[in-house]
Amino acid sequence: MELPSYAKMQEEATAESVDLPGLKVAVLRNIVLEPILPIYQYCAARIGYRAAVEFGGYDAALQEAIGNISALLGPDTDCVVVHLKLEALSEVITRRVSSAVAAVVADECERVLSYCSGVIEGVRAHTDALILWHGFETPAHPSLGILSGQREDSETNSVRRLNRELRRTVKSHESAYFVDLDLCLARVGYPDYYDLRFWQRNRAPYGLKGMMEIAVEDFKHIAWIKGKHRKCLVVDCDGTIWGGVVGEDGPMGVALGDDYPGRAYVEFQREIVSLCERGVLVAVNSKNNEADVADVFETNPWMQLTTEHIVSWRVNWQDKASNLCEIAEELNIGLDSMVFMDDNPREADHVRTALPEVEVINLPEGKPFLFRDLLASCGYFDVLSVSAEDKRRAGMYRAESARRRARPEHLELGDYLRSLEMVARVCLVDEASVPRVAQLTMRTNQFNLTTKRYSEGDIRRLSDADSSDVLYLQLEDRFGPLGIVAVAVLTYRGQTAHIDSFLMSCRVIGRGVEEVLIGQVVRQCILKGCKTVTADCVRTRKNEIVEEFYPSNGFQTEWEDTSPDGEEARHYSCELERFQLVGAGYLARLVSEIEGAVADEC
Amino acid sequence: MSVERRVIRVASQILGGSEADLTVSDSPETVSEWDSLRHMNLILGLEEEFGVTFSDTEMLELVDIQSIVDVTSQKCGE
Repeated sequence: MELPSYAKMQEEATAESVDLPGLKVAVLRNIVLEPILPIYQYCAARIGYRAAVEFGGYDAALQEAIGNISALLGPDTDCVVVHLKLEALSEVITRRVSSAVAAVVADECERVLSYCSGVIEGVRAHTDALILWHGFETPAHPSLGILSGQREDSETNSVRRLNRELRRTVKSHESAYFVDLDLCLARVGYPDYYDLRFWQRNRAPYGLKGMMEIAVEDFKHIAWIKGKHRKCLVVDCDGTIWGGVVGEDGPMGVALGDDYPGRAYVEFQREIVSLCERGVLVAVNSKNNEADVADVFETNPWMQLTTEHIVSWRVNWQDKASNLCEIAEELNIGLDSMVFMDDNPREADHVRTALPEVEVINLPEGKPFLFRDLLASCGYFDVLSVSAEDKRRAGMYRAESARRRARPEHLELGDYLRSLEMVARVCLVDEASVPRVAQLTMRTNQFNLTTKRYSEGDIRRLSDADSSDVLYLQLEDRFGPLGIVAVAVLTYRGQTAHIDSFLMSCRVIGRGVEEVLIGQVVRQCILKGCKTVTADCVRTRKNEIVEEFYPSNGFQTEWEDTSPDGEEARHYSCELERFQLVGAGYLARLVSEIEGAVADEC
Repeated sequence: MSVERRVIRVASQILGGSEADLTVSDSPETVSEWDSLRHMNLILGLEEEFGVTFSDTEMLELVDIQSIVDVTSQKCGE
C-alpha cells in the first residue's frame, strides 16, 4: 500500500473522515507510541472509518487491562492494540544477559509471560474487541554478537521463545491475533525501522518508516475483521501476466518461461493462482483480440493461470474502466471489492480517476521481478481464515455463469425455478459451518433484515447457548453446489422466540429460498415450545428489498420507530399456530434437520 | 518553493489550522496544539519533507518556526 507523506496523512485524516462510521482503537503500551496516531487515522479512513485512537497510561498495560483504569475497554471498543517493548518490560533479558545466570533469565521469561497473560486475560474480561498483540522484535545487534544465536539464555533466544509462547497464548483467545513485528523490521530495515534518538530522549522507539509498516500490518487485520478486504483481482495481459505483446509476438513469443524475464512472469502468475486457490476471484481486462489472448492461455505451456482460474473476461478494444464496471456487474460484486493491476501508467491513471473505489496497482514497467512481491505485500486480499467454500469459489462463479447463460429469455418463472432442480438442506450450525455462516453475516447487505455482524466466536456462542440457535440453509442446483446461502439467528425467552437475524446471499434472490428458511425457522420455534415469534426489520440504504418480507409471510406489524442514527426499524410478531408453512416451495427436495420435520418433503 | 513556505506547510498540516494562520514567529507558546508530542510529530514530518536528519544539537535549536527555517535551510545548503 502506498502511503502519502506523514504531514499529508495528518492533514487528510482530520479533514475527510467526519462522515464515516467510527472505529474505536485502544492502545496499551509501555513506550511512547503516540506519533503513530495520524498513520492509524489515515489507514482507517482508507477502509472507510474515522479512527478514534486512545492510548492507555504509559507503562500501565496491566492496570489498564485488569482495572480498566482509563476506561478504554468496553463493549464499543473495536480494536485493542497491545504494544510492549521488551526493553521496557525486562532489563535482565535485554541488556544485562552477560552477567545474568541462565536460571535468572528463565525466571524473567516466566515473569514476562505471566505479565502478558495477565494483560490479555484482563482485556478479554472487559471487551470482545479484536486484540492485536504486537510481538517482540528480535535484536538486530545483540550484545553477545554471534554468540547470541547460539546460547539458550541469550537475548535472541529468549525473544524467540517468548514470541513462540505468546503466539500460543494469543491464539487460545477468541478474536486475538499475534502480529509479527520482525516481519515489519525485515521489510523496512533496522536503521529506518527504529529511531534511536527518540528512543533515548522520549522512549519513542520507532522511526517514521517503522511506524508506517506497523500501522499497515495492523490494518490488514482490522480490514478483514470489518469485511473490507477485497475479493477480486483484475489483471491486464501484455506486460502484466506475460512480457511482450501477444498481438505482435504471437502466443509462444511472449516472455514466459524458465529464462529471464519469462521466469519472473511465471512466478507472478503462480502468486495469482495461489490467491485464486483461497477464494479470490480473478478476471482479465486486456486491450487485445480475444483469439490472441485465448491462444496464449490454451497453447503456451508456461501459463500457470488457466481458463479454469478466470471467472470473467473482458478482452476487447473498449476502455478499461467500462470493462471493470461490466466485470463487477457480471460477478455481482461492488467496485470497492476490486483490485486492478496494469503495467501501463496511463491505463492505471485513467482507471484511478474514473473509478476511485477500485484499488489500482500500477506495476513498474519493465521490472517484472518486483511484481510478485507487490501482489503479496499489498494486503488487499489478506484474510484471517479461509473456509472450504472460499476454496471452491472460482468453480462456483463459473457455474453461476453457466446458470445465467442457461436462463432462457421468456420462460415462466415457476417452470424455470423448478427446472433448476434445487435441493436445500436446513440445519443448526455445527463447527464446520461456523466460518461461512459468520462470513455471510459480515458481508450480506441486501437481503438482510437487521444487518447484525457476527464473528466466528459470536456464532459459536449463539449456537452453544440454550437461549439461542443459529440455522443455515445450504443450496445446490443442477449446475452445482451454491454452498451455505442463508442464515437465521433465533433467541428464545419463555414462549416467545425472536428472529435476531435473517439474511440471504444475493446470489439466490428470487428463488423463494427465504420462504423455505422462514418455514424451518417457525418449525424450530414450535419445537422449542414457543407460541409467538417476533422479528425486526432495520432499514438501511442497501436492504430495500426486505421491506415487505415479514408482512408477506403473515407477520403483523407491531410498531415502527426511528433510531437516533436515523434508521427506520419495524417490529413484527406472529402467532405460530396461524403461520402458513410454504414447505419446499420451488425446490425439488428439502432436507430438513430440524427435529420433527418430515425428511425429504416435496 | 522556499524552505520557509515548505516548513510552514508541514507545520500547518501537523499542528492543524491553515497555512495562512502560521508565521515564522509562532512557537509552542503561541500555538496551543504544539505540545511535546506534536513537536515530535513535527520533527518526523520535517525530516521526511526535507530528507534530513536533525542532530541532537540541531534539535535543541528548533524552538520556533523561524529557528526551524534557519536550521533546515542550513542543512539543505541554502
